[in-house]
Formats: sequence, structure tokens, C-alpha cells
Amino acid sequence: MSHWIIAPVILPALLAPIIAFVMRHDISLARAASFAGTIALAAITVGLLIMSADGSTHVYTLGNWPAPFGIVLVLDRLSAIMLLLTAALALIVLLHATATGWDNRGRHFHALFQFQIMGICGAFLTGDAFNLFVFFEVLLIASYGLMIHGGGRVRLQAGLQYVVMNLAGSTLFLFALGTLYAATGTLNIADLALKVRELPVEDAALIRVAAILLMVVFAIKAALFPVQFWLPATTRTRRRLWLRCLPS
Amino acid sequence: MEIVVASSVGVLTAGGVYLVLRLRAFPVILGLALMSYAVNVFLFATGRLAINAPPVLQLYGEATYSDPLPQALVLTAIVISFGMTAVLVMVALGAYLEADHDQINMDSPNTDEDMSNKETGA
Repeated sequence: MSHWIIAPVILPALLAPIIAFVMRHDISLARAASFAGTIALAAITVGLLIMSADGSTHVYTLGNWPAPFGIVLVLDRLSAIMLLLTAALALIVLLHATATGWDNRGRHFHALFQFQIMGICGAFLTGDAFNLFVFFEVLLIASYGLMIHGGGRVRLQAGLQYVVMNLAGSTLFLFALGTLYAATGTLNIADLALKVRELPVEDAALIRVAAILLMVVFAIKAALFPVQFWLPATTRTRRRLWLRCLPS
Repeated sequence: MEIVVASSVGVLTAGGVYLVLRLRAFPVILGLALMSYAVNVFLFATGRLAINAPPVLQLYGEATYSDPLPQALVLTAIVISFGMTAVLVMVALGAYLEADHDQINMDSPNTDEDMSNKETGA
């Protein structure tokens, strides 16, 4: 069990409060710390990709609780590639935000940015459906801050729309998770895959409802075709949205 | 017992959806709060309803217990929805103070103009 698996979550989680509390008055210091953190994250994700390149699945049991009861982080090739993609995109976005001076319009851009990276990395790594919800909320709450970063009438109104939309989506997400748990008795994603296969036929409708609910939730959050109506107002005011949309 | 829980989830969700569809800031906040209450009760019921059963496994003796996991999930969901509601209230207040109205919809005709002014001015 390699402890590097949790590093993409721990690193931004430690860096963000340091930036928020220590470096809030010095934008160049915050920029340097943010860049250093993101480059370190990219290096870690390259290492994780090499580690999982042979196709093996690495499981990190948080608190050393055995798998179906505790929360696990799972690293396989897909999650390693997504992590690397996140780190690369984060570097580009950071470069753009710094070069255009966007990060200087509000107070806490870099701290919020690191928190969002933490949420995205966690969402990619987690092997537990409820933990996925928690990491989603982490990245969402950071994205609310980034969304209204800089303030102004239109941005705040679009932000309000975005927050309301995502809160309604999160409620649906919880309903879906509750249904899944009621039907299968587990929230571990790998365990779910096994349990769903052995489910009695009369419970299949419950799983179907949960699956459709989950699909609606992710469609709302990724602004897929029938439910994309919140996107135009939001992207007009915020160019970094695609980073937010990634995990969906 | 089941009918009480099920109908309370239903009524809370119905009220929440109705209020959210009002598309004014204050009703929407109340509606989302109602919906989060509904989902909390729903999550609580996913571990099956049991009365007077502690959420602890007893090693010896009769093993009547209620499922502890949904209770932990509900606790997390309550904390998250509380924090999110606080954020929502702040954003709604900011939007209200900036725009002088509390509509959630953005259909004012001069939005583009306003935005481009802001972009060039900054």
C-alpha cells in the first residue's frame, strides 16, 4: 500500500489554507506557492501513472479499515490518467489566470483554486460513492467562490443561478445514493458492481431509478444536452468552467 | 411508521420543488432547505426503519440494532447542506444588492452590453 496515492488530495488540502492565511496579502508569493504546488502535483501524478502503468489496481484503505466498511481510494490506469490530465489542465489554467492578472481581481483565487484541485483529485481517486458526493461538494464550493471571483452584477447573478442549479443537483445525487444503499446495502463502488449482479429481479427497478437519477445528476453538472440551460450565462462570466466540468 | 416517513419525504420534496420553481431568491433558498430536509429523512430511512434499536452491534446477546451507516451519512449530508445553504444565502444577498431585484432568471436585455463594459473597464 503506497501512501503516494493520497498525496494528490493531501497536497492541495495543506497548501490551500497556507495560501489563504499566510500569503493572502502578497499575490506574487501566493502565485509562486500555487505554481509550486501544481507542478509538484503534476510530478506526483506522473509517478502514480507509472505506478499503475502495468494495469494493476492499487487500493488505499483510509484509516486501515477493511474494504467494504471503510472508505477506500482506488488508483488504476483510468484514474491515474485523469489525475495527470487534471494537473496538466490546472497548470495551463493557472498560467492563464496569472498571465492575464485574473487572480488579482479578488482576494482568494489561489486558495480556492487549490481547494478545487483537491476536490477534483479526490473525486477521481475515491472508491466510495458517498465519498464521491463529498468530494464533489468540495470542488463545487470552491467553484462557487471562483465563479463569483471578482464580483460584479452579472457575475453574481450568474453565480446565484449556478449555485441553485448545483444545490438542486446535489439533492438528486443524495436521493440516488440513498436508493442505491437501500437496494444493495453498500456504497463501495467495487462492492456495488458485485452486489448489483446478484440482486433479486424484484429490486432491479430500484437500481434502475438510482442509475437514472445519477445520470440526470451528472448530466446537470456537466451540462449535457437536455439540461445545459444554465451553462451559457455561467461560461460567459467564467472561462475556467471546463476544469469544473471535468469530473462529470 | 412507514407511511409517516414516506409521506413526510413526499410532502417536503413537493413543497421544496414548488418553492424552487418560484425563481425568487428567498423562496428558492427555503425550497432548497426543504429539499435537503427531505433528502435527510430519506437517507435516514434507507437503513430500514427500526424503533428503539441502538446503532451499535452487541457482541453478546440479542442482535437488534439499527443500521449505523445511514445515520453517519445523514450527519455528513446535514453538515454539507447547511454549509451550502450559508454560501447560497451569501451569494443571493450579493446578487440582490448588486442587481436590486431577487430574480434568479437572467433575462435582462442589456446583459451583454453590461458584461462587455465590465470586461473593457477592468
